[in-house]
Amino acid sequence: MERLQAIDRRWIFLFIMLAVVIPLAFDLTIDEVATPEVQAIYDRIEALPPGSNVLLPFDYGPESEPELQPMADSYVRHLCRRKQKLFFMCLWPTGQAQTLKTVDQVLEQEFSDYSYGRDYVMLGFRPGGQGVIQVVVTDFRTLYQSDVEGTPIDEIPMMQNVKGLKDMDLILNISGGFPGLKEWIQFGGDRTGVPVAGGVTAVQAPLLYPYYPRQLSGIMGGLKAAAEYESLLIQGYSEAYGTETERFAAIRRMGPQTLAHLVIILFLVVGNVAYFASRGSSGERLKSLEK
Amino acid sequence: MRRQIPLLITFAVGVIMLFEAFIPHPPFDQLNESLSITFDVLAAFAFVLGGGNLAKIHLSKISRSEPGWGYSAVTMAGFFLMLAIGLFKVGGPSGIKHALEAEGSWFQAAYDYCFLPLSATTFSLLAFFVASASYRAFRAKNREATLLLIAALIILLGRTLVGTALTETLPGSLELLFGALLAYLAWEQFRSKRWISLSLIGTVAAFVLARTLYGYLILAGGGDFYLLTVPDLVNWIMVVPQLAGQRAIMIGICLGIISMSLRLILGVERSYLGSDND
Repeated sequence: MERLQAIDRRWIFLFIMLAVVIPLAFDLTIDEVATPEVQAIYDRIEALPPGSNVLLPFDYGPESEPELQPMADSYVRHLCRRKQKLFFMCLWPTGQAQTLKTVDQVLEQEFSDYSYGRDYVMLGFRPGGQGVIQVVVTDFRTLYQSDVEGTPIDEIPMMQNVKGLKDMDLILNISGGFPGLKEWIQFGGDRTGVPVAGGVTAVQAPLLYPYYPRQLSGIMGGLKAAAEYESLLIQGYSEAYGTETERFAAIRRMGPQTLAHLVIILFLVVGNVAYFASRGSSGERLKSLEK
Repeated sequence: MRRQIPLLITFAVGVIMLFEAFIPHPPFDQLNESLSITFDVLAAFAFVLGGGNLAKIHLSKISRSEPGWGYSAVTMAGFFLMLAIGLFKVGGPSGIKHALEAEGSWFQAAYDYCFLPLSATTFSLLAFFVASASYRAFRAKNREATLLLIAALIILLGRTLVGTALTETLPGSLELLFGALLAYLAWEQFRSKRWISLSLIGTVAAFVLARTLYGYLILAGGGDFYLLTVPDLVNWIMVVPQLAGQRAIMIGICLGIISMSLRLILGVERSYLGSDND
C-alpha cells in the first residue's frame, strides 16, 4: 500500500493522457442538461426583441480559449439567429484576436446576411481595464474615435444611435480573469441598469455566484456550461442544427473532460484507500512493537 | 512640500470619485470621466514601462550569462520580433489606421501559429499536474480535509454526466434509508448528550425525512426529492455553502478596501509616496 501511495507520477500522466486521447479518437460526445444559470442566459437572449443592441466584450486570451471560445461562438450563433446587433470590444490586448476568430469562423461563415457596420462592429481593445468601462458608460466616442479598421465611429451606420453603455440592451461578457465579468457588473451593469450576463472559466465561476441572479442575469462556468449552452441551441434551433454536433466544440470536448475527471476521482479514491490501509498497518506494527 | 502636493492630489481625487458614486450629476460625473480618461492614458504608458522592465531584466541576464540565460534570449527574441512586426505592420496594409489583424498580417500569423498554441499547451499541462498533485495531497487526514475531499468528489462527479447517470435512477427507498440513518445518528447524539451534534444532525435528518415524505405523500413517488442526485447536490453546494463562504470573503475584502481607501484619502497611509530618504 505504501508503494501505491508513492506511485510514479508518470503513471498518472499516462492515465490522464489516455483519458483525453481516447474520447477524442472515438469522438465521444455527451448531451448536457442545462443548469438554471445557463438557461437564464439563453432565455434572456430569446426574450430580446430583434434588432437589440448587445455588447460583447471578449476579455480573454489563448490560454483559456478551449473553455471560453465555445461560449463566444455560441453567443454569436444565438444572437445572429435572433437578428441582434453586435458590438464587439475588449479590455484585454488578446481579446481582439479572439473576437476575430469568432467573427471569421462563425459570423462570416454561417451568417452571410450579416454585414459589417450595419449588423456588427468591432471596436477593438483599449487599455485601462475598468477605467475603460467607466468612460464608455457615458460615451463610447471618448475612447473609440474609430473601429479596428480605422473607420471613424460616426461613419458606421449602427453607431449612429449609440452614445454610451446605456444604449445597450444586454452586456454579454466572456472573461478569463481581470478585468472581466466582475468589473462589467460593478462598473457597467450596476451603474447603468443594463443587464449583464456572461461566461467565465470554471475556476472563476464560484467567485461570481454572489452576484447571481440580481446583478448577474446568468453565468456560465467552464466547458460544461458551454456544452450545456450548445445543447440548448441544438434543441432550440433544431431546424438549423438538427442533431449535428460537429461545429459545437464544447460538446465534443466534454468527452475528454468527463473521462479525465473520472480518472482523477479514481486516483483520489485509490490514494485515500492506500493512505488508510497504510495507516492501519503502521498502527498495528506500533502495537506489536509496544507488546 | 514634496509630500504635501501628492497628498493633496490624492485627497482631491479620492473625494471627487467618492462623491460621484453618490451624486452622478455635473460636475462630479464630468470630473469622474476626465479622471477615468487620465487613468486610461496612464494605463497605456504602463505597457511601455512593462516592456522596458522586461527588456532590462532579461538583457542584463543575457549580458551576464546568468544560469538560464538561454530562456531570456528566447523571451527577448519573441518580444522584439512581435514588437517589430506589430509596429511596422509587416505583411498587412501599412499605416496607423489599419488593423493589426488585417489580411496577410505577420502579427496575426505569429499570434495564431505561435502564441496561441504555445499558451494553450502551457495551460493544458495544468491538467496533468493537478491530477498528480491531487493524488498526493488530497487525503482525508482530518475533519476539515475530509469535508473538502467529499465536496471535491461531488463537484467533480457533478461536472460529468456520470454523476447524473449514477444517481438519477436512485430508488426512493434509498432516500428514505439515508434519512433513517441520519435519524439514528441523531438519536445516538441524544443518548450521549452531545447537544451541538444533535442539533446539527437532527436538523439535517428532519429536513431529509420531511423532503422524502413530502415527495411520497404529496407528489406520489418521491419525484420532488433532489438532494441525493449529484447535479442538484452540486448546485446546492455552489449556491449555499460556497456562496456563503464567498460572500464572507467579499465582505471582508470590501471592508478592507474601504478602510485602506479612507487611510489613503485622509493621508494616514503614505507608503505609496516612498520613504523620506528617496
